Amino acid sequence: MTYFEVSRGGAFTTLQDMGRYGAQALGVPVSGALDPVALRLANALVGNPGETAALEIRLLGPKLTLAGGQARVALVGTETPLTLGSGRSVPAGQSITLAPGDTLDLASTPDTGVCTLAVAGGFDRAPQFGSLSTYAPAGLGAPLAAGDQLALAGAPLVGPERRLRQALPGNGPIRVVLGPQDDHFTQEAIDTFLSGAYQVGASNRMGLRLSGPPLTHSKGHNIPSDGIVTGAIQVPGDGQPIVLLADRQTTGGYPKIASVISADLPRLGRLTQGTQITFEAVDVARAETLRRDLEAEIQRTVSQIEPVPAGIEDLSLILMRENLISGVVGES
Amino acid sequence: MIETVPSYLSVLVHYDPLKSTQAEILAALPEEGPPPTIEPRHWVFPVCFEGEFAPDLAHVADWAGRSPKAVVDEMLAATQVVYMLGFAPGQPYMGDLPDHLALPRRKSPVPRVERGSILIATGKTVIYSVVNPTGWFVVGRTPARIFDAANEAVLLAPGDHVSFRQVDAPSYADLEARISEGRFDPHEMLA
Repeated sequence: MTYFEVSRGGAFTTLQDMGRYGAQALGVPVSGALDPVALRLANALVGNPGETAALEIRLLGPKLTLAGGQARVALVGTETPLTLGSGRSVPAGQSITLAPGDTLDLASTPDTGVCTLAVAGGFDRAPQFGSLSTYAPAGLGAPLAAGDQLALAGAPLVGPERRLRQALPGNGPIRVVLGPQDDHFTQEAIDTFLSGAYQVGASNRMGLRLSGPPLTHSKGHNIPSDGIVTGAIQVPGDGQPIVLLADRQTTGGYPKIASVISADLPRLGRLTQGTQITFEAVDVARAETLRRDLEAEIQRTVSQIEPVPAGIEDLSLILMRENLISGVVGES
Repeated sequence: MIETVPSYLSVLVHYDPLKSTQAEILAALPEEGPPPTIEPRHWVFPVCFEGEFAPDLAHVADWAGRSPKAVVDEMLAATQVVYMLGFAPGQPYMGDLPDHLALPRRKSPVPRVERGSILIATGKTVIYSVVNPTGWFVVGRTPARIFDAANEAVLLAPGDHVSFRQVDAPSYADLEARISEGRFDPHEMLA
């Protein structure tokens, strides 16, 4: 058996795939990758189907030692390089093959709310409700902890190491579709929401608190509980919006002023505390078009993945030894 | 279409915009069919309304202008209907409580409420299946488990009836021990 021995779990490192659909009517949240674009690109680098479960890392990464066999891994979504012990490191966006005994260490990743580490072949674990995604509050998986052993499914190593040629897509205002309870807010509140800047506060996998100009309800802050989508922006009685993320509840009773379009959900997961964001309203047809545009961009990015030219890793090794660089190594 | 989520007044349809559009989904919605046949079960949950299990009971009693004991008595007298499951795995939304117990949700949610908590707001009652944040008020706790992750099972179904029987803290501890040791069949709670 090939497995990772966990000597540090990190801040909140979890196994995530594209989510757990089909049991929301029973109240089971969808979960899944906060950044599904990074998940797909990381999987593509190691030769996996895009929806294969990978490790999702938030702010402080894990320290893992490989045992049993070889494993090819790739990190996507941060500028922080993977440290491999004995002075070796590899930048994010590039695959690397580990030998038994190699230790993989990912330090803090302050440039992003989330990054993704994929392993060729994925992980050997039984799905629950059809998914390997961790939903910690209900005991559907658990965040990595020191002492855990993570069994790998294993995959034959094929071809050279590979790297991305482009950064992850996405900038500008976060696009939203207004509603479903925009009628619970004053027109002034809607205008404020679409013109004001909101600062990202505390977040977890369930949601992201924002602070900014308060949003005034016109019909109170209670509705009969109804269904929630990932990206729903609920506004409790204090007028400060909360953007709901992958571990969001299936239903809820605070009015939702708007929902972030699915094309922009991956960007939400990457947001770091203190970042200022703004919102722009689009209609449903435009949101659907933007999702299809993102899909084309993901497929283009995958198709442009290229072999790593020989000598690149050696160069970074030399530079590390000469202590000429720190933090950012061989950024592609 | 990926899946649907029914709630009090709406049905949420999740769909994949790479496979269909909202316009196509709306055009394909079926005509209203006959109501589903439901054979409701009646569950009686043991609940402790004391001390740390009921941190918001005094606040609810103040809001209602009644004593905490009067609020507990009304919770015990009610037989509530499970309207829907939602928020967390297997979590029932039940109703209805009298209007004087229909206090609004908190203005801002609190970050953590224990599994088994009995919460009320807006005249409805929920049982927390897992630890979660809440905008509701905690008036008691049951040791019973309504979600079994290992077996992918939820206990309650929409249409079921639920009432509460009062247990003191020592009885709660005994039940909790039986449940965690697997010596409790939740069907013992069927009336």
